[in-house]
Amino acid sequence: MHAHIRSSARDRGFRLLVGFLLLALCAIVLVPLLNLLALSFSDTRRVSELSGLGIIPKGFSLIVYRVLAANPFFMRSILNSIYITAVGTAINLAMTAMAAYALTRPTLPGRRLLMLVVIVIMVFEAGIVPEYLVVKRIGLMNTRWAVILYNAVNVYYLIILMRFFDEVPRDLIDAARVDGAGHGRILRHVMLPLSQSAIATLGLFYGVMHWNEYFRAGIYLNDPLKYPLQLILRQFVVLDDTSALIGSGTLYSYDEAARLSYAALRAGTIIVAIIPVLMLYPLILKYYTRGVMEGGLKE
Amino acid sequence: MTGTASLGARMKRDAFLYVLLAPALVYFFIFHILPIAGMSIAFQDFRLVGKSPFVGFKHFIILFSSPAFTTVLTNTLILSAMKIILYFPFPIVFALMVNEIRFTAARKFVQGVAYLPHFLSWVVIAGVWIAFLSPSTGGANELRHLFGLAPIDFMTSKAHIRWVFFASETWRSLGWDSIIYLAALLRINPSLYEAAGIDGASTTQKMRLITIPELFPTMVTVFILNLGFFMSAGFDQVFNMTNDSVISVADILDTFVYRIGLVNFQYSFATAASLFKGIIGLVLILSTHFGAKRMTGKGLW
Repeated sequence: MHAHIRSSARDRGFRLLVGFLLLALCAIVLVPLLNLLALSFSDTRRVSELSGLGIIPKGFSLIVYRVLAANPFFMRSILNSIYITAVGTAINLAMTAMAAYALTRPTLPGRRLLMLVVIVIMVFEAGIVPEYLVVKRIGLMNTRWAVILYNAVNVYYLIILMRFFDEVPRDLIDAARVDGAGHGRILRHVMLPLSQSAIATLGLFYGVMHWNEYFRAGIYLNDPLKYPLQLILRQFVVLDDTSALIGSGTLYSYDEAARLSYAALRAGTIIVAIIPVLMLYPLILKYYTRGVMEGGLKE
Repeated sequence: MTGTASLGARMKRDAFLYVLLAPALVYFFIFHILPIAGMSIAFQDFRLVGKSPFVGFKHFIILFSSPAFTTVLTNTLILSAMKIILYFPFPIVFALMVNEIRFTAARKFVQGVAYLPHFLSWVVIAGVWIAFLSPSTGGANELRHLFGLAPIDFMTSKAHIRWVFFASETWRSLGWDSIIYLAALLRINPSLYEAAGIDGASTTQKMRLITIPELFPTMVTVFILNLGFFMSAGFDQVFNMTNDSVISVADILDTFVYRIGLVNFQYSFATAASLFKGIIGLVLILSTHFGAKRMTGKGLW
């Protein structure tokens, strides 16, 4: 009896320690992000009062976001990112679903050879220089198509979707076929509705991938008016180069901006880049978690 | 049931599968097969116009004898070892801790927070970390100040930059990488714990005697498959978090290839380095895939 009490007291101590550690981990993830949020909303005259650990703005001001909204390069880059993400994701989903359907049909002629191609692509990468030279040769330089198409079908996602399509009961497909449905109709009316959570998950992943893309944009685009947000962000926040965001002038040429700090402006740029991901995040959690529970993902 | 259609109709129908497959095949050909074929420039002196002369292993010989390559390879191996071996237990411990949370709402909150950084770009993460590690205004140095320690400029310190990479990688991936273990934990039969509870086992005993052994196959799979990516130490991270003052310890194979190829335009030399990396990577991935498949029944495909 005594031993039992002692062990349950130890259990409680253990649980308390675990709870404390998890709370600390959450703080480590959130504080740096919330600090930038607070910085971007702080009153410009009081920015320097904000501690690096502070998460409550000192005063309140929207000047950072007003300056960003008035910046033609910045606003243009958001539109570019939205365009690349929307068009890219639509192409990704259509191509991945069609290919996954075809590759999971047992009657597909040459199926084994095609799967070998998929696996070769999965395990061997040519590297960036040969890809760059191909893009150059086929005339996609300085077009958004290069940025949209370089990852039109992700082979890992293709294989995930193939696993889902494999799970669709054969009886359903055969029944549709007896009713006179061809492959196109079976794909649209049988496979896709039954793989909704997988399609949604892949769509979200592809979408986040496009939104976060900066590297291909950096090497394939040379017209700043085509730059996506992440590339502008990289130049300004990582390379500390203000020319892409502010042009040849300085921050001080903006009204009110004589008092604006670069740190706050940087913070605001980062926050704007995170917002779409945050908006999609609840959906990601919902569909991905469902996918994991259904057993097809991340295995 | 397929037997109801005539052979001719069936062939026509299956030909349509190639229509569905065509866009993906064209994509694979242009963006994967052509570049792989294009790696032949590693054995040539590439010229934009005219014929590129064949030079055999010239670029490989220069590559393997250059001290820069040794440095870059060493950096890649060190960083990979940190990210694959040293990092390995962290997501497992995190999954075990999350598994101990009894309130669903608290559990969902912790998971929601922990998975978030995985969806941020490395540009954003670099921005967040550069701000957080700033020697003058960053939160990390405010914490050091609380303990009476002098500020450190982490981002420009050769002694610290690898740990910055390690910490930011952990910050980004810890939660996400724990998912596979959490899924495995859910599959453990609860009656094992009930039986252990009746026998008076403590929480830690249950963990040691039931949870860890049950997780073991998943651990083996994850570890082996990660080894396959040893030659890629994380291009996007290093690309966005490196500056000139730390490049001698931070530069990895992929950033080296980028700089040689697309900044200095030595296409053939850079492709030789890519080919070296690709072949080692291929051997690693294939052996880890088949190794994992033999040991646990699960591989990359």
